[in-house]
Amino acid sequence: MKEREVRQRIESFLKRTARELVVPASVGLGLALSGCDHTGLKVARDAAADTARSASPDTILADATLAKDSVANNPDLANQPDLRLPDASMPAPDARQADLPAQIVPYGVFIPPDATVPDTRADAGRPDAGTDVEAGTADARDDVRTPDARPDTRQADLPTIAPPYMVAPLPDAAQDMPTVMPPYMSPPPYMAAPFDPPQLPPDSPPAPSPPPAPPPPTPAYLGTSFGPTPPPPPPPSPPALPTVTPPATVLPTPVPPAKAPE
Amino acid sequence: MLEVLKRAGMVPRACAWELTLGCNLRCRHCGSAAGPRRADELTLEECLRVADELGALGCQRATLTGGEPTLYPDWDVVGKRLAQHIPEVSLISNGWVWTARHAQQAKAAGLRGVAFSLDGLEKEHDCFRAEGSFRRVVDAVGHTLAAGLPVGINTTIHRLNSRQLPQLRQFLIDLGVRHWQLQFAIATGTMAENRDLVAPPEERLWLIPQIAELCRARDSRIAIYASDHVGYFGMPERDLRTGDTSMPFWLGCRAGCHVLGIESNGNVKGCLSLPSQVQGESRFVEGNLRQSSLRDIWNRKGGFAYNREFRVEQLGGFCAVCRFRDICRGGCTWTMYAESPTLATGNPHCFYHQAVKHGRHDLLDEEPTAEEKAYFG
Repeated sequence: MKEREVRQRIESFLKRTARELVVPASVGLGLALSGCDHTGLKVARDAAADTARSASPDTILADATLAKDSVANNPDLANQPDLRLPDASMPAPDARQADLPAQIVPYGVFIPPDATVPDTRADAGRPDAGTDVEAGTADARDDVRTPDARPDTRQADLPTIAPPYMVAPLPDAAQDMPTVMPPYMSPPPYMAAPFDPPQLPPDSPPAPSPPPAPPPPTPAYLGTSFGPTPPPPPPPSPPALPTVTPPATVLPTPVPPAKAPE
Repeated sequence: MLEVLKRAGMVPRACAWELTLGCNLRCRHCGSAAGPRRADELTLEECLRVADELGALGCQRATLTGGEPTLYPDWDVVGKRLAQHIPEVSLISNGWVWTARHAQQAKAAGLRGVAFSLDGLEKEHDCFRAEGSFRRVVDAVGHTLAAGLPVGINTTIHRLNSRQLPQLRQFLIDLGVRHWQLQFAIATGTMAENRDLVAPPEERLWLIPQIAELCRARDSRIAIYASDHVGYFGMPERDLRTGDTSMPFWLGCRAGCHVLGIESNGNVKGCLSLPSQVQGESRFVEGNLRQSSLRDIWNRKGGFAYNREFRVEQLGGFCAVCRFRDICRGGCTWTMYAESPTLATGNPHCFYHQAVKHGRHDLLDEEPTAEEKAYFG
């Protein structure tokens, strides 16, 4: 989406929401201009009774306590901070929020309201399939481990990762994109770029020259069918490396390369 | 653009709540450096009060997280109280101790669903988390589906698993997972000690189109969501944003505007991912729920200033000259912080930034401006 269209859409949203904010004020202004003030709209059947009622200190206090935001009803009101932000304490109308993309908070969970649960039982669909959920074998509260009881040595060793100076040249964008598209899915423009992905075999030790990269497989999700992923071709065997005897002296800790200026 | 967020209502519609920092794993990429519990975590009574306050503020989606939230003894009680006020309440777990009983507790509490962290295929997942962790997550998914709860998977992308997304997708479909959230590992917390495992910014040039393509497929078997720190702009942008909206593009960080984070000791931040006292950083803590009500903290004059009082002059690096700078505001604040605590170096993990930097104008919707090109010489 071009910048111009982005700004037009934002402008459209701002105009629309501004109109929503202005309409109530204009309605009030129109009523006032047409001669309808607030006293005219509130027609009391017995004005004398109202006058008498409002003259009583008890009724004044009673009316005050009925007010939702009254100090009598909310002693802390006077200490409330300034609300400089519009609608700070009011839930936003869903109509306005619907114009914004959903928030996908990192490390949050997004499961939309219409989420369904697939029936993963092996006997699903059989008329005699059971519906009871099998109970857990252990009480969850008893199964909680002490957080500090386990050191992180249980983690598997990290595979050797090529240091930054051995990383293959910058991959072109969209290079892992497949070339086979299902007929109902047209390729987006950014997939038109040719690509030649670098291969960083995670298990192989750093080699002076990386082995030739195999052609990128077509991801199953964009194949002509969504059948099971075919078994990957056997990985190329890494070239034999000469045995390197580490020097006897202890090397100083390498200093990470300085960050290149942008 | 901040005005858009204001017009939509400055309401904490989404909240991530760290019930405990205690965790039974020590993952290499943990952004909050979870492990030991905090010494001063909120009691159940305090949590229930906070749950009521959160509902009263208009929150629409709350996620119970941690650490490992099930290590908080009454996580289901808190979840149930939240569910009385908030339509979408869910929980994210590492699955290490998740049993069928946990799933039943979550169901009984009224949670919308449960998500588990799965960071790659078995080998890559286990070497980032714990040996045997992958199988436990698979079992946990089965328990949860059997209890009738929708299951989501959150995958943190790093250097070891960045090439596994298509295979992982197929695996999740076969497992019965219907919701998959993708996010990048960011060098804060424990991951700050493992910076070499963060996917380099240049890889955004092929990773983000791939994620966009996964999102775009709109496969009925699995819905894929890109996290808010994945983007921004360029051709993939529209496909990254979830929802059928009139503005399907990034509108800037919503921390402290539409998003809220609560730490287990009651500290409130605009987003739970932002660093805190565990990382020796306190400027993002807006208040504590033992001293102030949530409403007071949210409405406090001058609060969440890094977003609510944002000025484009705050931006540095390429972001300062970017054509989208007033809309994007530098992208995810957390990601920017990981690059520089001053937030003034820009966001090199941005797709547009990398496309301009490497001359991949064919991935953009229009030619970069002269100022943008000049920035990279």
